[in-house]
Amino acid sequence: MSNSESITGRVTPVLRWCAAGETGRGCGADAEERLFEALSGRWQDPPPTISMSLDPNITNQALGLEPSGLLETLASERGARFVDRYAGALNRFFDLALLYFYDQCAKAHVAMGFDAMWLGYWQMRLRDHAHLTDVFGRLMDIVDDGFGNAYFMYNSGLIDGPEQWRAWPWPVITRYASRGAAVYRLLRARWGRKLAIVPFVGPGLWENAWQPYGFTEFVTALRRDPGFAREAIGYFTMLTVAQVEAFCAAGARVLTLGEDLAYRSGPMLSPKLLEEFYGDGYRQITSAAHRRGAKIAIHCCGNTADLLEMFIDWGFDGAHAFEPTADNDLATARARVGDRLCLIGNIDVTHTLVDADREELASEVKRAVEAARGGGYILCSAHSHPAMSAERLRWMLEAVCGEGV
Amino acid sequence: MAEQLDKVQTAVSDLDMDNIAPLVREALDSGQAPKDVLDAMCAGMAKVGELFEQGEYYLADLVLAGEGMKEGVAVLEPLLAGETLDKKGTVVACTVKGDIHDIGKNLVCTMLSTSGFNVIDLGVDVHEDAIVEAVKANDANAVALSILLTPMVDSIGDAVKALQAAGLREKVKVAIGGACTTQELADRYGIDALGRDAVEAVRIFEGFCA
Repeated sequence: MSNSESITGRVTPVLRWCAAGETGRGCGADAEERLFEALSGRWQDPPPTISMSLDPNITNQALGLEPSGLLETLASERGARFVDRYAGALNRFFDLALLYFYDQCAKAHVAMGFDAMWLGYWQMRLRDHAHLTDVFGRLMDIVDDGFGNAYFMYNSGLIDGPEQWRAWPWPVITRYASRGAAVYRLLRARWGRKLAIVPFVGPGLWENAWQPYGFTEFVTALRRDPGFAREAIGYFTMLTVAQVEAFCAAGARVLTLGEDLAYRSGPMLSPKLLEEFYGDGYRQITSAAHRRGAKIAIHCCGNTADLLEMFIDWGFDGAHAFEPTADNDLATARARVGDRLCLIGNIDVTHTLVDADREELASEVKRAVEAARGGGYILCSAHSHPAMSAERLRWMLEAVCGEGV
Repeated sequence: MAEQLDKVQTAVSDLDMDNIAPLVREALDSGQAPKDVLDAMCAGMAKVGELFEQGEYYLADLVLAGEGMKEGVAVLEPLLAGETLDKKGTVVACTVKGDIHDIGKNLVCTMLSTSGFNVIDLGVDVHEDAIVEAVKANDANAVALSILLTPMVDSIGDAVKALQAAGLREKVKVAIGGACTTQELADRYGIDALGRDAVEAVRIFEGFCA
């Protein structure tokens, strides 16, 4: 067999897999265009929809599946022993497992009728049967999501100080970015006609800088060791810019950046410190997207009222979350930003998408849509949440199309 | 003499972290009583709380103030051993079962301690039985439950039920706080108060222990 035949032999199953995405109610490439228009500040009627609900429980509900049994396997004596022994070998299949996970997610989102779905590429590694680590020095516990699915929860950082930070085996930036883009390219090829796949670039500059290190420790470093803090933020800026470039080269026109800069009553850092340490990095990231003709939105939990002007100043085209539980008011946000920032989200995940009745949910969607008029708006849950009901996500989509109102 | 205490108070309220411990030593060297130095630090922390509520300071500033307090208290601690300090009440604080996030809980503990409460910090992922034991062992007036993740909200209910089963619910007030907490959630579990941040927590527990 010649080299080219060998390569073709290997590539053909991948092409076949990519071509096999199932038909749904979403509209794929057209959806990406509508997202792009919304992020350009233009009202779309009806507003496009996107999902960040990547929890296995949502996928299972939408596809009529039971929990995979992974949690029971990890908790069993034999399973735990096997994973503890072969974690290193299992980790070689990380990208494949991620691809399968997102493939199921995409299938579920097409079935629910979403226009778009986030795709977060984040390299994690099984440390043992109860823990994951990521390449950035975070330790995560594997826990039950309350529905029998494995769910990971940030535990602590693995990096003790600047010396250990400098010695950490950080991923090679170009390789990390191109692996994420490869996963994106495959999912886009398979599902892109039915569902826009929106790369979630992250986990950003702020979280990535403090979580491996510890919140108190990093906040203290901003004051006592600003040189180190800038070094850490600088690395993640380069990584994120490379991710943006790789995703854009793979065809992405719409991206999101994950960055929880606020908590329930306001920003975690003062605007002055945010600008001083992070402003330049965010501008590099948004410029990288804009240079390649893409739009980029920032996801930020918590009360973001005092950050909206900064988001615009940093070059973001949209902002996601507007959690109602953090007292975010969409109409006030719109009045403040006009059409300079596309608003995304604001549908409550603690009650509305968990146990509200159809009428209440429709009225909540109508309220958000009306409040967001005057600029771009993309309908989305305010966060991911394993307790959300797939049926209510469908009601949300039907309501925005006027079918359920 | 009061000038030394003013400097300590200002160092805390200005988040002048590098100077808090040296100024505490300076105040002690100048003859100030350890208890008075501690009071000056707490007054500085109260000012930090005020500035936070006025929007001048942010969450990270509360963290910095807390770290500065720890460094100052570390200087005072050996000198305060054996002294009886008046306390406003005893609060058992923890992050609930299944949840291991501790930023908010730690801030609440710091703010309560510096506001004159005896705080029993049980840490994170705390089972309801441990909460009951701590309330009994410390004759606590109140319980502070912190939670970030919605999947763990039932742990709040478990803690309340355990306090009820132990006959303690009438004796202790319970407050919750954290990203996923809402008034609906507080109502569902019969919680006495919902706090938005660590500074509001101080007011809530002062109300409980008045």
